[in-house]
Amino acid sequence: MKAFIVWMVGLATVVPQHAWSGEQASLLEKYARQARQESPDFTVFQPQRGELFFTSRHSGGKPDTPACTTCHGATPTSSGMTRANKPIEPMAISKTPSRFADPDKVEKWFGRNCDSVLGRPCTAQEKGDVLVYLLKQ
Amino acid sequence: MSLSHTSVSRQASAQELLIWDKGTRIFHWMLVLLVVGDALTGWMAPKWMLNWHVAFGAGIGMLLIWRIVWGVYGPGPSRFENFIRSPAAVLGHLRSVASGHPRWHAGHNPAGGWMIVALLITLTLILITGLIALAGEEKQGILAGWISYGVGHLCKEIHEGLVTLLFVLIPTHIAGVILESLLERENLIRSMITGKKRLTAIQTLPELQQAKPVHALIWNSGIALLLWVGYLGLGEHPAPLGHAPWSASAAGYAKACGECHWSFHPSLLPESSWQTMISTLDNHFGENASLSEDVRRQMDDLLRTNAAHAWDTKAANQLRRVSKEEPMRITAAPYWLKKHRHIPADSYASKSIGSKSNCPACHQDAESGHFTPQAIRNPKEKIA
Repeated sequence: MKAFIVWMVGLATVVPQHAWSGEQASLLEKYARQARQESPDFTVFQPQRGELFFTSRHSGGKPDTPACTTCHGATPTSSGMTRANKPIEPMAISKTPSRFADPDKVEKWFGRNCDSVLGRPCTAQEKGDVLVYLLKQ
Repeated sequence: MSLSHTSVSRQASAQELLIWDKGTRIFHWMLVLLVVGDALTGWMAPKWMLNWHVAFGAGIGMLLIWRIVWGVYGPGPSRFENFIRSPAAVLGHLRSVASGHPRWHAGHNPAGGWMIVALLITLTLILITGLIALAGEEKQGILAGWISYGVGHLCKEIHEGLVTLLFVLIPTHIAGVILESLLERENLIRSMITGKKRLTAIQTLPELQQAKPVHALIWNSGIALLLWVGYLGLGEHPAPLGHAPWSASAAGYAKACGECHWSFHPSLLPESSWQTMISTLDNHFGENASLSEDVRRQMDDLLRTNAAHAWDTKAANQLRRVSKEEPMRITAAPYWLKKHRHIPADSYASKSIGSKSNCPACHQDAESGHFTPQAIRNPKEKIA
């Protein structure tokens, strides 16, 4: 029993403040598998790459939506607004803990938004990079 | 109500005769107030004040029931049997008016009596058609669930036609009162306040009946009870027309289609428009709004089964007609344009509305698909 308590306290200090749920972790694993299939050079998702992807202006998509930030707000911690004037909760997991818990929803929105912003589907690496970036926010 | 004064009787002054009992007088002036109230709320008040219009109408209904019973059991001058006269009597009276020396009548003259009948019948029909219109068009009131939109809409037209007739009858009634007042040198408007009319030597006091207030009370209570039972019975009707149960979140609709915009009620577009929309989601008003094949098929099914033709609300009936150029755009439909023609175009851009397509910004019951007048609220930022 004593050992168990020590172990639990230890776990509580080790686990980061905004623990990723099982769904979020398995989603990252799925993207990692896909990324390895897509490119043999893939090693690990990088939040810095994700940040660059999230904040840059892209070309190839619809002229009204050149960047993720067009609708999602300037930073992951700010709220956004859909093109039909409905508020979008912040993408940062610290602000919206339920983010990325529903894999179907994540896929639905990557599917739509990559087409709107890039004019093509996102690669698994792009998705994973953005995900780790937003999960660290 | 004082019972001793409900009959025609000589008063302290021998020259004055009590014609209109207190009940009939209160009835008359309350009716005036409520008809004015209903006219104002029907024509001029903002749409969301419909409840006031209905409440005034209910008040008129109670007055009419009381007056019809009083027309049978009230004191002489208030009784139908004394003032509903033959056409020959009406002609005779009109001839005496034309001669400048109208025959004296204790209560209504024969022409005035028919005016009362016309007013009572017209008002009754206005109330009945109003009740049917409320049920058919708005799915409200005791008849909700029994009346289709088509019947309700027809009754609204009749309701409005009858109101026009009423507003021909009322000035005629007033003109008749003024004419008789002038010819008889008797202020009849004052008579309807005090209840009294002068009795001159040449006039003989007619034999008129006493009121039977107990009979009247029994009849009024009986009718009230009958209405109450009917109301309870009608209220238990399980599935009112146009009230098919709908919950955007229960159907998965809010999740699939309500993340970018509010969950537009499926009844706001006909099946053909939804069919086009669901097959062109990759370019949905300029956005990619594609769904997984599974969800797309579910939504296709949901939208078709709840499309405009499957609902009987006013919005569903009227929005079945779409814009030829943009059949998928609700805000381009002829009915939408007609209903919003007085709203300045720039008000939609205000922060709390955002765009024309944000129905729930002003229609608080938009999600239910009902769009009742009472649920219209302009957002805090004023629409000029």
